[in-house]
Amino acid sequence: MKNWPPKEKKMPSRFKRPLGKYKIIKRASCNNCGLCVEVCPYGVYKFRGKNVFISDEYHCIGLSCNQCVEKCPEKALAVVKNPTVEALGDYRWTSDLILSTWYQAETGKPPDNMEYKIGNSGGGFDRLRFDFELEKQNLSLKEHVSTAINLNRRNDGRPQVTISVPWYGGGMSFGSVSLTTMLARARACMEWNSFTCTGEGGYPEALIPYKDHVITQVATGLFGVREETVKRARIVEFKYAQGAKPGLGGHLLGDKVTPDVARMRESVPGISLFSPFPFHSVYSVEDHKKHVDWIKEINPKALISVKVSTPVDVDMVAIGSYYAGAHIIHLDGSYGGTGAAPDIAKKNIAMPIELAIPKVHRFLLEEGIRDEIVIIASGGIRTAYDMAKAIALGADGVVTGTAELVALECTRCGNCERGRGCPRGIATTDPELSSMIELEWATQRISNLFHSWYLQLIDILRHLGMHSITELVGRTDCLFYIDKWSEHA
Amino acid sequence: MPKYHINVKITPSRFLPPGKYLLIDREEGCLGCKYCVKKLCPYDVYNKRKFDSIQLRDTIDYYCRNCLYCVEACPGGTISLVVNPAYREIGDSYWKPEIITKIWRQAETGMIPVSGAGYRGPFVGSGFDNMWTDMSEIVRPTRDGIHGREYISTDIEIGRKLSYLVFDAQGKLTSSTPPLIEIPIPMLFCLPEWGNWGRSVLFSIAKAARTLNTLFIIPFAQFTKDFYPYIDNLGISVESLEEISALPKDVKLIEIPYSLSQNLQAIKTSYPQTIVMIKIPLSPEAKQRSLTLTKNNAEVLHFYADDHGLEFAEKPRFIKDIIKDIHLSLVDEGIRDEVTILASGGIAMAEHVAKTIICGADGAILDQLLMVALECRLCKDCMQGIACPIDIENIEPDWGAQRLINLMNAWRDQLLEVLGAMGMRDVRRLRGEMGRAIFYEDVLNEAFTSIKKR
Amino acid sequence: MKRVVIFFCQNLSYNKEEIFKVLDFPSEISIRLMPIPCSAEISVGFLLKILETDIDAIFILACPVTSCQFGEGSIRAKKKVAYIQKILDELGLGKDKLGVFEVDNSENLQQIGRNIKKRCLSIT
Repeated sequence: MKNWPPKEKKMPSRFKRPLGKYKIIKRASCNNCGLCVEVCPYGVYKFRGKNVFISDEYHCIGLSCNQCVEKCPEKALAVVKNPTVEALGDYRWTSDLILSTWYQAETGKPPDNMEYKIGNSGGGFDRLRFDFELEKQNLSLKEHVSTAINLNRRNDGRPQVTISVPWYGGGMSFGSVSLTTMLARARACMEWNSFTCTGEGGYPEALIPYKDHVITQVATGLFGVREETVKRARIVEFKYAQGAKPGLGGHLLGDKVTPDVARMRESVPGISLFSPFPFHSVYSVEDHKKHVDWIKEINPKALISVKVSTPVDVDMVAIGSYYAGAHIIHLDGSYGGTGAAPDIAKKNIAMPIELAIPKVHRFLLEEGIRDEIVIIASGGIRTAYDMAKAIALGADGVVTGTAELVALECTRCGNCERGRGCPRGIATTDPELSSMIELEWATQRISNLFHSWYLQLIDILRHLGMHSITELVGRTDCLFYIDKWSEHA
Repeated sequence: MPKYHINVKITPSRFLPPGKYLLIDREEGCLGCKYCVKKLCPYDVYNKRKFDSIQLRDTIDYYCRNCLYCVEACPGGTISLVVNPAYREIGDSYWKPEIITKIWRQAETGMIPVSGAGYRGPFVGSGFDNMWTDMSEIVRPTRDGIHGREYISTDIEIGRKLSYLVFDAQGKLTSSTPPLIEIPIPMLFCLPEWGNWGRSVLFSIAKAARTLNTLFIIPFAQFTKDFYPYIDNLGISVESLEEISALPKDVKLIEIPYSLSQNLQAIKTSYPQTIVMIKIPLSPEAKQRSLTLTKNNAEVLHFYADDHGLEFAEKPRFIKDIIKDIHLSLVDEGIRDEVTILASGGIAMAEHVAKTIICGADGAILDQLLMVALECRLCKDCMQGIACPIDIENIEPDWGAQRLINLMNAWRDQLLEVLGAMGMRDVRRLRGEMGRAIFYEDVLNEAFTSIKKR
Repeated sequence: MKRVVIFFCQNLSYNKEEIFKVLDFPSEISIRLMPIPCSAEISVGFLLKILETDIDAIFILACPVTSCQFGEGSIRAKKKVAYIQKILDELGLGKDKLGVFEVDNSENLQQIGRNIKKRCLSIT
């Protein structure tokens, strides 16, 4: 395939002093001699006229280098661990993961001095590791490794849809995120021949040029679901439930329902929108089949994806969806991201994705229909390693959400639904806030992150001696689980 | 029957809670920019900050929302953000600062805690944190939670139930039915084992119990004449038989310690319309005691653990696991429905009530939680003779009552969310529904059977 | 009853209980021990505001200069305290109401404790 993979392009942060692991203190005794500018291998210091200033503090790799500190004739420099980094992050997205995602979004490749594979949640993906000694054989760099997956395995006459990478973007609605964010995701997904999803809040007209790479979501609020939005998509996604708040519908609080959002959703500005749960026309598997048939009638070419949460009987839900005619069963685990959800639902309802995937995979194998349906996993997929582990557990591919926002410099402050929305302009449609992000910058940041993920997936497959990501599906023998866990940073 | 509704009113704390993040401004290196980033703070905290002269702190920690805008945008790099050490001082290893500040918010607003971004805690934990609740979709019916049109009941009944009824030849009921109290929320109030709370606190709880129509278990020593107007919503906890004989005849519920349980029949003879609750510490003997007592006509059993939910034993098990054990053993004997089981100790979040009920209790009794809602920080200075930093003895009872009412509304709404997600219309249906819960150890073994361990 | 506030840097290797025990104050001196993220955090304005309340003296326990996590917090704290002490002196209020001490080890902490006690008893 020509122009594959898409090239990375350096795209630094929007801020003057982006956070890095280390902080540099330049005391007043600095005499602007410029020795640090010469000596630093990472371009931390620069001249502005005759004065030396700290230009890229976040590139500093810290005390293991320490060249500038040692060489400064006036002893004016000090390098310390940045105390703000301790206030950043949590168990799932640690400060290292956030910083390394920013690094990958800037450069297109993984960093070599920060953790970029696992978080610190003490379970699930963070306790699974790849057993790289398993396959002694390593593929040489000359052999081609494919990361593409097919999304239609039903042989039902509908067109095949192949995505060149085993992930696509999760639904983040207009209203919960800005139009710029949605466009950036759509453009990056077009570059990488994958998809993004409109989310619950309707199909903005600005996305139409990218329609071959946009999934229309039909959610319980049925916002913006019209014949034309269903007809123009190659894949239609039914959102029955969302991992982060199973048993509840979407939440969009009043201040975020701006006039544009209200128009798209045919509602009133300033009034909070709580989507119902469930679909009030679906109370059984038979109703579900009717639902699927409805969309299939309107769009004879579209593939159907069914997005569900992970209850105890998720395997039953999966098989029910298969018999109802779905092509993709999309499992959304409980630790996924959201714009707003009750804390009790995020933590307690339904199971995390790592525990649901093997259940569904095994059950569908036993039922003999595993190779006729595609399992997509989402809910807390943060890194390329999480992705590969999800596939090894039994999924065909994954859906990402939060990771793409972190690429746009989300700090996981959690203020998404507070007032006008995201203070960084990502998860908001407030005109002033969303102008903080520029479309070209955002597109390239996401594309760079994808590039880094692509490199890592290829690397994992090469280590495992596999020529295609499809060979990794269900290969739990490539994993091992860390039994004794000690809580440490 | 009219729908049960709790009236909520915003009731701010008397002492501004410590916030999680503090800003440190180094000042050195400040370039004196015309549009200082501090003026551009999206939450305007630099203007809102004040000096709190009672707690001697800069209130910026309360307002800062950790968006890191000023930190990253300042060209001189003079601003840093850290976690406020005063925040970390609140509570203890079980009642963590996050849990306590959430309780305060709920007591203030009466609303369910909602936040952006996904769950950020550890994958699993110990105690209540190694189980999840279920939800229904497609193949099972669901209900629409607190926003739905269907009414979800949170009523429970307290008292003994007969296993069967006896009718005479004419169809008239000849069994004498024991007294039963129905309360609209599965939560009762009592006092923690420690602390000197003062009468204002007791009045706050009594008032809240009356408004919510639940029960407050008050110690006999505190039950003075001025509590009498609340008698319909009080249970009285006694320590000795002398105290029992001094109780008013119309008391609804009496709590006796396990040591007095052999006097149950005698007490019931004197107080036939009063429900007797037996207070039993959770320990390895608890299961056997529950069986014996139930077979001897016990009505309500109150099992209590310590403040961290642990039983009183050498190698303590957690409250929910023991309740599971007790519940299942009573089920095996076929006598579970005859007795009401209430549990207390370590109930700090609304999800703990739901999980306790799933594990087999009929309801929960809240103790330390109430004090936290009244702004207690669990510093336990009062136990050392030092004055209470939040002056809890001098709260206004109406203020205190409204804090508890708000909190109960938030907890009940969260319970409705959990029930709605599961498709249940009644909290009684949740009791013992362990098949609908997801226990970490079990699911982990099932999911990862084929994966080798190291 | 003298009211004293002691701020201690959270990066010291002593926690609140330990400091309380080592300082061993008599009951006529009522202390509040409050942790701070860095001794540099306390601003001049903040110290002045505290002096406006009924607090009699303020002391800061800081990390030694070489081990400050922020680079030079203790130096800045010293500068700020010296600045205020000058004002207090000029106003005739006495500079002993304020002090900043670097804590190296536990003997040094005890020495500081004695020092603070002496100052507290001497201020009016």
